[in-house]
Amino acid sequence: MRKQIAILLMILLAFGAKAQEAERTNILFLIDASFSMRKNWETKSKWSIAKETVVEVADSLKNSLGDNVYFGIRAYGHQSMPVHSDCKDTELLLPIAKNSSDVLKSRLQSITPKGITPLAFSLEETKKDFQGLEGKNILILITDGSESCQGDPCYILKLLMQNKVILKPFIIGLDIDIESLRAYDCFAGEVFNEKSQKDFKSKLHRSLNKAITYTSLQVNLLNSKNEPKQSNKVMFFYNKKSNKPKYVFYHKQKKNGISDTLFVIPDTYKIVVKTIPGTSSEYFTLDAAKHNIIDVKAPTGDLKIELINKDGEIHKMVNSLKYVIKKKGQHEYLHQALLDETQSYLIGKYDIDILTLPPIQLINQEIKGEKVNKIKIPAPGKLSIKTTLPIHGAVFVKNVESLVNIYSLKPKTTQEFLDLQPGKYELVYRLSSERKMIKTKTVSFTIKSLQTTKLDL
Amino acid sequence: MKNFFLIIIFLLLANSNLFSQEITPKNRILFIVDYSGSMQAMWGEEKKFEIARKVLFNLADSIQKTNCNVEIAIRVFGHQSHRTKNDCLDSKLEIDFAKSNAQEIKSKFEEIVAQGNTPIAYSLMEAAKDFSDDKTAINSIILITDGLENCEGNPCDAALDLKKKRVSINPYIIGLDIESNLIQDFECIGTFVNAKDEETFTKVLDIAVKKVTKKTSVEINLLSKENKLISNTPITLYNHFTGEVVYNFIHALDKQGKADTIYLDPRGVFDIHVHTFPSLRKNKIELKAGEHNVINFSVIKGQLKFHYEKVYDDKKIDYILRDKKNIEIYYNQDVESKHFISNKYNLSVLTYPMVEEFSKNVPIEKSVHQFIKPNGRLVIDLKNKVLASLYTSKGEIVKDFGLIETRTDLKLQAGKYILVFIDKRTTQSERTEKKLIEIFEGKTVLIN
Repeated sequence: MRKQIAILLMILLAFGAKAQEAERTNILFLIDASFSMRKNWETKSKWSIAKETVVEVADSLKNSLGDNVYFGIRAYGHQSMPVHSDCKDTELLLPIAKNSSDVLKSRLQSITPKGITPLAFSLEETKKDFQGLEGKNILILITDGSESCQGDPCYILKLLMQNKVILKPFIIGLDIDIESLRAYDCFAGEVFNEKSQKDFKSKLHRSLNKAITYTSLQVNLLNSKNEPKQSNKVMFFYNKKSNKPKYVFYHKQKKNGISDTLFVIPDTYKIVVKTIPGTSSEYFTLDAAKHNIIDVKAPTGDLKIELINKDGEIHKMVNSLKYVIKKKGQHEYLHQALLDETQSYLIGKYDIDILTLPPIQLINQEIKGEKVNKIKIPAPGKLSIKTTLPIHGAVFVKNVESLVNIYSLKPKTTQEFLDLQPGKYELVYRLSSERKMIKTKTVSFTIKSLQTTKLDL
Repeated sequence: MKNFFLIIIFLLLANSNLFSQEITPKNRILFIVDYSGSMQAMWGEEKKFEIARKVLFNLADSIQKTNCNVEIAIRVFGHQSHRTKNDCLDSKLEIDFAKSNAQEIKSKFEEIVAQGNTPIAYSLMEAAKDFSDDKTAINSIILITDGLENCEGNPCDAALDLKKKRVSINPYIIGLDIESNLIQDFECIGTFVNAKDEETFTKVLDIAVKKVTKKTSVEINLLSKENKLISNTPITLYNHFTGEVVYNFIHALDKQGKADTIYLDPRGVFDIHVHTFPSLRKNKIELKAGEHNVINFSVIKGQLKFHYEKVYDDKKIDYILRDKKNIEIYYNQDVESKHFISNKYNLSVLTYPMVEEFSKNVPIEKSVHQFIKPNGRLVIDLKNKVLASLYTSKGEIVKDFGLIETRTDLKLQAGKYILVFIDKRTTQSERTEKKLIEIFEGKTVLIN
C-alpha cells in the first residue's frame, strides 16, 4: 500500500451554548503547521493545499451562511524547529472576527511549517479562543498526521464534548497510513479515500456545509430494560408539515456502544422506529444550537418457531410453512413469516396462527425482550388417500372432547395427499355415487411426525 | 269413582355401534310396573294391579308371538315390603330379558303382592343397569304407575341422567288414571299418557309398544335460497351432554333429488353441526322416537372464487379466511367446493404486502371474485453484506430482510416501494441508502 499520507481533514464541530437561531457563526481554523506539511501531494505541498483550503472553505461558508460569519485561525508547530520539541508550540494567529478570506490568506502567508504536532494541547487552547462569543462555534482542524507530544487528543475531545462541544469528524485522505489514523479512532468516522485533490475538496465542502446548517442529534433506542442498547433498526423522521418521512436512517452504534450522531435540519420531529409493529416517539423540537439527545423506547425480542421430530430434535423443513401474527385480541395481522426464520418483534403479547393443517392457534403469547423466544411445534406427517372409486369425504381431527372438521376432500376424488399435524383423525366418506347417507363410512387413523400414513380404500 | 290404572311407559333405547350406523331392529322393552299399596285400589270391576298384570301378560304374549326380535323384561317396585316399612329401595328386576317369557311373567305376577312404596326415581336409576351392554339392541322403558313418587328421589333428575347416558329416549309413561293436577309432574320424565280405564290402557300400551319397535327416521335438509337443496356436506351429530360424536355423515340426495332419509337411534339429545364454513349448528335437538323427523338448515350458499395468474414458479396463492368471530380458520383449501354461508368474514391474502379485507360479504347465491394481481419480483444482489428492509410508499413495513449476505429475492405485488439498506460494517447512520422501487407484474427489478 502506498504510504502516501494525504491531508487528514478533521472537522470538529463545536457548538457553544446560548445561540438562539444560529445566526452568528464563529469559525476557527486549527491548522497544522508542522514540518511534515512541507511534503507534496500531487503537484503541490500540503501546506499550499491547506492554505488554499482555508480560503475556499471561508468563501464557501460565507456563501451559505451569509454575512454573519466570523473567522479565526490558530496554528501549531510553526514557531519552533522539531529539534526543540516544543509541545506548547501553538498560537492564535487571528482572533475570531469578521475577517475576510483575504485577511486569512495573508495571515497564513506570514508563517511557515516548521516543527512538531502538539494537537491535544492546541485543542485545549481553543476553549479560550471561543470564550465569551455568541452564536454557533465551529472548529475546523486541518492536519496530516497524529499527535507527537504526550497529549491525548481523544481525551481532550471528550472534555470539549462535555462542554457541549460535539465532534463529527470527517477525515478525508488518500491511502492514509493506518497507524496515524488509529489515533483518531475514538472519534474517527469514515475515511474518505479520494483519488485526487479535486474529489477531496468537493467532499470537504459538502461535509462542512452539512455540519454547519444542520443540528446534531443522537437517538438512543431503549431496550426492554430501558438501556440504550437497541440498534440496527430503521427510523423514519416525520415533521409536522408532511406525511412523507423527512429522513430515513438505520440506527447505528459506534464500537463503544454510543449511538451515532445524526445531522438534521432543526425542526420538530417525531421518530417512528420500524420495529414490528412500529413504535413512535412524541413530537420533539430540536435545539439548533445544541447537541440533542432523544430517548425512544423500542424494546424488541426475537421469535422463532421451529419444527421438532418425535424425539424432540429440531427438524428443518423442506416446504416452507408460514405463520401470521397479530397483537393479542386484534383482528388485523401484522406480519407473515416463515417457520425457522428468526424475526424480531416489539415486546408484548401476540396471537399467532401457525398455518399447518389443522392450524395451530396460539393466543396471548408473550415475546420477551433481548432473547430468542422459541416455540416448538411437531413436524407434520403425511396422509395418503387412495380409492378405487370416487368419494366425497372430510377429515376430522380428534380433540379431547370432540371431532372437528378440518378439511373437505375435493369432490369425487380418488387420490389426495395432505400434510397433517401429528394426532388422531377420522376420515368420514361415502362413495360419490352412493345415495344413502347411512352408507357413510368412517376410518380412524393416526398421523406421526415425518411419517406417511396410507389409507387405501 | 272408578279407579283407573295408569300405566306409565318408559322407553329405553340401546346404544348402537358408531361405525355401523345402520339400526338393527332387535328391541328390548323394559316394563317398570308400579306394585305399590295404592295398586290395590279398585279400577272398574277389578283391582288396578290385577288389570295391569293381565294387560301386560296379553301384550307380552302377543308381541312375542308376532315379533321374534322383541325381548321383554319386567322390573317391579313396591312389592317386596309393606308400606309401613317405608322401604325406598323396594325395586327389583323380576324378569330378565328373553324372547319368549310371557308365561314366566304371568307366574311371577301371581306370586308378588302390591303393598309398598313408590320409588320411581330409584327404579329409573336401577333400570339403567337392567340393560346389558348390547350395542345392537334398541332399548325402551315403559313405566306403568298410578301415583307420584313418595320416596326421596327426584324422577326428573333420574330421567335426565338416563338421557345423558343415552340409555333411553323420552320414556313413555302410562298413568293409571292419575289426577289431572298431578300430570305435570310426569312431563319432565318423558311422554305421558293418562289411561282412564282398562280399554284405554290397553290401547295406549299397544301404541307405545308399536312406537318403540318402529324405527325413527330423520331427514336433514340443507336449504339454499328458494329452497333448493344442497348436498355432499359433512354433518356430525354430537351427544349434547358429552360432546361425543354419535353420527357422522356425508350428506346425500336420493334419486328423486330429495335429502336421503336415515334411520337413527333417537336416544338422548343431539347437537347437529353442518360443516359449511363457518359451520351451522342446531343444539339440543331431541328426536321423536318412532316418527319421521325433519330438520331444516338454511344454508344460503355463496361462493368465493380466486382469480390468480401464476408467474415465476408460484405454487399457489396463500390465503386465510376467518369467520367474523375469528373462531374458525380456513387456510388454503379449495374454496370452491366448500359451502360458504352468506355471512361476513375476514380474508387475508398472503402476498407481499398482505392484502386484508375485513367483513367481506359473500352475497346470497352469488359468487364473489377475489382478483389477485400477479406478482413482480425484487432481486437484491449487492457486493457487500447489508441490513435491509422494504416499505410501501406509505411507509408500512413489507419485509424486514435483516442481514442480507447472498442474492435474495422476493415476489411482490406491483406497486411502489422504498428499499432501505445500509452496509453492515458501517457505524454511520448517514450511510443509510434509500431506493425508490417500482414493481411491475411479471417483471424483475434488480438491485445491485
